[in-house]
Amino acid sequence: MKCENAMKLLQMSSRSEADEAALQEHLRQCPDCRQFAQFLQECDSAVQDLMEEPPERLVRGVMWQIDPERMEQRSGKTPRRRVPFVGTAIAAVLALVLVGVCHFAPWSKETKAPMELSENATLAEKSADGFLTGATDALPLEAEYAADGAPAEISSGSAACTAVLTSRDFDAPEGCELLMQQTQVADVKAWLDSTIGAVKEELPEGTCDIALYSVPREILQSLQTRYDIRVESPSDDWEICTLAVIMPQEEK
Amino acid sequence: MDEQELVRKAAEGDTEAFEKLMLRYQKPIYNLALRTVGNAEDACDLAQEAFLRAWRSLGSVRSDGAFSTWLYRTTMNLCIDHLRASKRRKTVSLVMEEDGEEQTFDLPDTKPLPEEQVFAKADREAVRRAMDSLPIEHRQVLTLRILNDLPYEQIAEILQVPEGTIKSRIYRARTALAKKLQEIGNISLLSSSKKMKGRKRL
Repeated sequence: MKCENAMKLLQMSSRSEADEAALQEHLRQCPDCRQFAQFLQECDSAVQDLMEEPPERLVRGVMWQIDPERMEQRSGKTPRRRVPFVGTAIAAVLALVLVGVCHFAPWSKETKAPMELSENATLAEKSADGFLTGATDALPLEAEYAADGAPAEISSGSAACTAVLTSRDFDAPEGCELLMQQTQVADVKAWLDSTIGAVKEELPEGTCDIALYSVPREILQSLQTRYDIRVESPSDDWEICTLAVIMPQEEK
Repeated sequence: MDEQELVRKAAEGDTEAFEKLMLRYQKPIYNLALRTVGNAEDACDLAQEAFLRAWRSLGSVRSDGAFSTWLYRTTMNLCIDHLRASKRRKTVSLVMEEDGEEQTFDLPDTKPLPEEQVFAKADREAVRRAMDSLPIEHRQVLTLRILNDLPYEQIAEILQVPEGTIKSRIYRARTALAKKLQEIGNISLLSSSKKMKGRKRL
């Protein structure tokens, strides 16, 4: 066998028995090809060592998205409805707060720098505008937030995603979605505070604190899978999700 | 249950069958994403997205061969889109230029390591760094061929290039990896790769 053939055979993904025998015979006689074979072997074994086990959340996260009922049964949790886009009972509250968000210009000069700030700025504003497409209810406190008198522009066709995150044990109004253990909500909130920074926190009066975050798609996706949260969005065409985190107010 | 049957059932909406398919492919898909984008968090998200797309498109994917090829290709495309997007978005990078020279700051791994594993880990870390520094075409073929053990024919289908190109690309990728390891100072491939110079390319 010529060296050239041996090299070809060495690099094939599979070899016939006859080829294998001829190759081994050649390798016994040819130090150069033996060296080449050793190089391939070492290279392959070095790469194979890089194989890693996927995290558990990979399959679980997908299963939560495609079959939440089954996952709920498996986890022994009480079956619950799929999370609607925005819980109807708190939609009005959110709409109110989001009007505020628009006028507070969330990513203005003093914003705590989130990752990739410059590009998110535009997206966050677009997203907040887009949300208002659905938030047309009369809002008693609107004036307080829309203090500069600018009308809450309702843009059409702008993609937006909004989601509500609150705890299972929070005595929320009917229709409000109960998603997680309160400690987990606090956990997520603390993380969001440190990385993204809330846009508007704590309603002045009421039974709960609402913090709003403009969460980039990738971050929301990783939150969803990490905590098994499911956020349904009417379209895939969005980059920033306006995420409201609702916590019961601490007793003062 | 064979793969074709699982794909057929999943296409009919059987989530349990789809879960079995995911369990079968999660490791190669995750590792393909991991070696392409370089970080575990993004790799997991991208692998999930690939599976979700597969779930939505199962109706149009028929045979088992076609399913895995489709899945690898989708993962690959998602990873490339992700890399392009993050390149566009990136304003703060872990690579900093100082006196004209690029310095990379690696985030510390906080997991404790058993002492006896330190040497093995160091070698593996060198290989990982060498691998991650290769051009994407090389990482792709090394991952698909060596890590995931796919035949040339399927790799050619996944990457949609001729089989001959795949073979020569794998050869170049191996040589490039050996060179990188040499630069980093890993000994194991040094002796063999020295003599690779002057070798005829296939």
